[in-house]
Parts: sequence; C-alpha cells; structure tokens
Amino acid sequence: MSGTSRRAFMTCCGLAGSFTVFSARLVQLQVTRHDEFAAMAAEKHVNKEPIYARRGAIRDVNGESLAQNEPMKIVIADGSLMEDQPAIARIVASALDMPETQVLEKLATQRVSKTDGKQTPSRYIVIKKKVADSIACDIADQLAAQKLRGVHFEPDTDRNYPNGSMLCHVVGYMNKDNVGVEGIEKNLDEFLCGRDGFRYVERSGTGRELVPYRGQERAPRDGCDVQLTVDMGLQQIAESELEIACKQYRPKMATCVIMNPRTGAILAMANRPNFDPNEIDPSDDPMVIATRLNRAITDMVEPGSTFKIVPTAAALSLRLVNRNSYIFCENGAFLWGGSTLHDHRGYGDLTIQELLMHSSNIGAAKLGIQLGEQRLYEAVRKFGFGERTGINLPFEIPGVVHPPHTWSKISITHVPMGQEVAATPLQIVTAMSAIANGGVLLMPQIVQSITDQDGNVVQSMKRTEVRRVATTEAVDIVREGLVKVVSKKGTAALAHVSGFSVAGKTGTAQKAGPHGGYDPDRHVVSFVGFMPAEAPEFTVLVMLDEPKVKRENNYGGIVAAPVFSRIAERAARYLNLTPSPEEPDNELIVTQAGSVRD
Amino acid sequence: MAANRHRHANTVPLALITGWVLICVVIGFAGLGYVYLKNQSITTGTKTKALERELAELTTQDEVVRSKIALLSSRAALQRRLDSGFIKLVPITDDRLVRLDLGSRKSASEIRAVSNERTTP
Repeated sequence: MSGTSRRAFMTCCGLAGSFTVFSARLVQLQVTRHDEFAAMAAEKHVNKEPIYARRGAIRDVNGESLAQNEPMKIVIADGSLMEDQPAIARIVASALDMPETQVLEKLATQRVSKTDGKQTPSRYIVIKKKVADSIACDIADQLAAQKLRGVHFEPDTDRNYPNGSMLCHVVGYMNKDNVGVEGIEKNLDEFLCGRDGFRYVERSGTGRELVPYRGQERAPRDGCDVQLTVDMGLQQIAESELEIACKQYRPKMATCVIMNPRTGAILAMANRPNFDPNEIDPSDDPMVIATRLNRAITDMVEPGSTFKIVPTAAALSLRLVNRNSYIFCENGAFLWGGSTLHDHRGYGDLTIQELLMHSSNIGAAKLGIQLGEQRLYEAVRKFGFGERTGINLPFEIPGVVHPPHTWSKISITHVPMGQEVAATPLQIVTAMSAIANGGVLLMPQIVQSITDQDGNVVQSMKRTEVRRVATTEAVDIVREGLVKVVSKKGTAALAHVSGFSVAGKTGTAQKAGPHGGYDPDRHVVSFVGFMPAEAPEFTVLVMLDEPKVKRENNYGGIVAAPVFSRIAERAARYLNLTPSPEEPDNELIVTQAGSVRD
Repeated sequence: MAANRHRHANTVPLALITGWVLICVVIGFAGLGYVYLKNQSITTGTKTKALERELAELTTQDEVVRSKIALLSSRAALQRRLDSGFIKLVPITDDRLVRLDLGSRKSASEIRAVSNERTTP
C-alpha cells in the first residue's frame, strides 16, 4: 500500500470510528436511556393539571338554594417562568391585599428535581385561594401590561349560604380545605364533592399550552345536588317565632322541629343559639363551638310530661286499661319506695284521657307500676328512646334509657313521667308523630333526594317504618286525650289554634342540680303537638332550656305552648289547611292576601 | 461515422431524472404537507384553547350571576330589605278580610284558609 492510500485508509478508519462512537452515544441516549431523558423532558414541559369538580348544591324541598358555589380563582405562580419576581410580587401583593414580603417568600419556593436531585424553582406555587374573579382579571391585566409572565389562574369555588344563619345546623358548613364539617355538608360530603379530573398538559418555552400534545385526561365528575325535605317557608316561620320566644324568655337554648307525621320528613329544624355559616369564627372558644351544635339531635334532656304518651299508649295497647278505666290519683300525694310523688293539684279518679289532660304524675306512675319494669322499658325502647333515629345528620346521640336491672325502687314511678330517661328533641317529636300517624314509628328523614349532574336520582327518600309502637285503638284514645290537653281545662290551653283541633302534650322537666337531685329553678319547658288532630299534617316540638320567667310561670303550657300555637297557626296558613267547621266559636276569615302575613 | 458518433454521444437519462424529480417533489410536498398540517393542528389547538377559555369565562360569569341572584333573592336578604324599610309589607286590615260561611263552600280548595285570631301567651 502506498503512502497516500495508507493515509486515506487511516482517515476513513478515523471517520468511521468517530461516527461509530457518535452513533453508539446516540443509541445510548435514544434507546438505553430513553425513559430517563423522556422523564426529564416531561418534567420540564409536561404538567398534570387538575380539573376541579363542581360541588353539588343543597336545596330545600321547593328547590330554594341553601348552599351554592361562587366561582373564584386560585392565583398560581410558576417559578420557572418568572424573570422579575419583585415586580410580580408588587402587583400581586397590592391586588390581593397581602404583604409584599409574604408574596416574595412564596415566589422563591424551591423544589427538589426528581431526576437529578437539584433544587429548582417550584412550578406550582399557590399564592392565594378564593380570589374574586374581578381581582384575578385585574392582576392578569397589570401583568400583561408590564409583560411579566409566570402567574396564572385556576378555577376555584367559594361555598356560600344565601340564607345565612337560617337552617345553619342542618345545612352545616365547610372548612378552608373545602371539606364539610357539619350538617349535610359533612354527612353527604361524598355525594356533594364529586371527583376532580386531571389532564396532562405540555407547555412551550413561553409557558403556553401546546394543545395538540395534550396527554392523558380524565374528566371531572361534578358532585350531586341534594334536595332536603325542609320547606324554607315553614323553616322561616319556625325561626322567626323561635327568635321572638328567645328575645322574650332568653333561654340557654331553644329548639323547634316540625315533622310530617305521615312520612317522617323533617319540614323545619331550628335551634338557638345559631351561627352564620358564611362567617365561621375560627376560634376554639367553647361558647363559639356550642353555637354550631344541632341541639335537636346532639342534646339530650329529660323529656318530662311529654313522655306520658309512652306509658299510656303501652298500657292501652296491652289492654291493661281501657277508655273507661279510672286511675285513682291519690288526691295529689303518692308514697312509693320511700318517696312521695306529687301532682300539680290533687286529683281523685281520672280516666286515661283526663290523666293526660291534667298531666298527672301519680296517674302516669301508677300506669308504670301496672306495666311493670320490663314492659315499661320495652315500651320506652319501642318508641325509639335510647337509640339513634338514624336521621341523615352527623353527631346524633342515642339518649339514655337505663335497663330495668339498674333501676332504683322509685324508677318505675319516675320513668313514666319522663324522669331518669334522657331524649333528644328529635326523639320526642318522632315519638309524638307515631301517635299522630296511628301508631307507627317512622325514621325521620331530612334528605328528599340526591341527583347527579345528568339528572339521575341517585337516592330518594322512602318512608321508612321502624315498627308499630301501639295499636290503632290505643293511639286513638291517646290522641283524644291529647286533644283535651289543648282544651280550656287542659294544661296547654294556650296551644289552641283557631279553626283547628290541636293535639299535644306539655312538658316541664326540672334540671339536675349541681349537687344531685333536681334544681327547682332550672327547667326545660316544652310542648309537642300535631295539627289538625284528626288528620295531622305536621307535628311541632318547641323546647326552651331554662327560660327566664317567674317560677310560677315556668311551665311548658305557659312558655312553649303559645310558641307552638303561633307556629302552627302560621304553618296552617302556609300549607293552606282547611279549618275545621266543627268549631263554632272560631271565626274564620279568608283573604287572597293572606300569604303576605307570612 | 455519424452512427458511431451518435453511439458515443452523452444521452440525457430523462426517465431517471423524471423519477428523481418526482421523488423529490413527493418528498417536498410531503414535508410541506407535514408542516402545514402541524401548523394547522397548532392553530386549531390555540383556537380550541381560546374557545375553552371563553366558555369557562362565560360559565364562570353565569355562575357568579346565579350566585348573586340567589343571594339577593334569599329569604335572609329579603328580610334585611324588609327590616331596613326598602320593602314594605302592609298589614291586612280588617276591612280587607272576607268572612265566609264554611258550610256553603263546595270544595276545600275553594278558599284559602286564614285565621285572624292569634293566641297570645
């Protein structure tokens, strides 16, 4: 081989060798380390962006909005795109009313790269959530004017409650992380919240999304809408009358529950104290937290005389007594188990209905003795006391009913008159509804339906019978007795509603004293009744804890019954109930403008 | 001689050139087509994004308005308006009430039941 040929050969070999090395490197980069470099590229340009699901609305039975979403924005910064952080911080801080240093601190957030472990500017920095749409537009305009990039906006929502404090304990509220913490917002959170979607997005060097290179995507599934059984017309009636009562009597707490006794649907549920879910106080003050409790299901009280419907219905169902049976009420003082039981006034022989009408403790005690411990206990449990009603609201308590083997000698005389048992207001109204509907205990319902975004009904309310608690005949007799309670001779004459027959029972329960026994000055007064008595449309419970009234007026029949009367009268007008023509004393009027008075 | 010269003269390989030209044209057009389609795809993507944004903004505006309507027409808002005297409800006076004989009505739906007696504590 000549010298020229050798040089040519060597050059060729050198070139071939170099190309082989380059090719090998290319193969290594493209094939062997493909995943690694693809991941690096993806990390640089591809983002997984969330697509937020819309939270479902909460509405009343007529479709009135109780909880809804207001579109807001989340202000997001991308550290890799920002060139002039101080200028951005100045604009953003002034628009969002935040300290500039705080914004700058956020903009400087670093993250550790997954691939090389180095610190790089974070590409997803949340500067502020729940920013009004108009403010977000203002920021975007200012940044565009100064040609600053690196800040973008994502959709966010703020939950608001148009009716403020009305029905607050039922609707509930959400924490700052958009999770329901009370009421329906908590209990039905899984239905309401939906499921967020996502989308893999590739961006150009200028931060613009390259739509043709969109990757995997999952559409969000919006939350279901929840319709409650509550009628805001009735709720407003309950709230306004309870407010008037609270101003008049200044009780520690007050509750009003309106229930449809035929279906178990809760038509209204109001409590005092209450709160505005739009302005949640973040403090841990127990007084503040106490305002958020739904007393109708989380508080238990001794029901007092309202409980007398239980032994009377039980004794009648078991045919231990009948409509014409007389119970001797010992002229007002009855010694049993070493303790003397008193009536408000001395009574002799009373029928079952008269027993209810006069609310005789001795009569009820004697019925309890006639029933015996076990049967009395079973009757109490049958009426739903001592167990949760199962209403779709959080933190419901079961109340307290002690088993007979723990009873003292006098328990048999105290339980029938509503002592030594503790019940929630909802349990009391549910038990009275069982009397109103002919003897069937129904599960109280607060949710009418749950509907998904396509309009499909996911769940709907079904009348749920728990059990029969008394025979129809027994219930009829008790109901007649309860009508007499609201007569002029009864304990709740002030519960009367013109044009309608009302059935109900008063309750005046002494509260336990700090050193045992009962405190004569602290009472829970209540009235629970239904109307019209012959074909009940609603059952109403009004309960006030420690009303500030003179001792001689501290009775359910004087304090709670008039509140019931006003609520029932307005409810009858609202529901367009036809007055009973049998009452000649009552003057009935008709007006087309009647609703204005609501 | 002429025949011999003709045999040795350089001939133009028209078929070959045509073939190569066609290949180049096809490749060129394919490249241009690719660039055109890619451009189209990016333009369409940009338009899609703009439309998506517009739709989202319209939806947002719609929801904001709905939310405001619900807030302003809520019972609480109406009550505030009533309390402030902006809305005035006139109490029904006695001369506006019509008293009916209940026995003469034909059906329950014929009247709206209202009672004017208010039980007071």
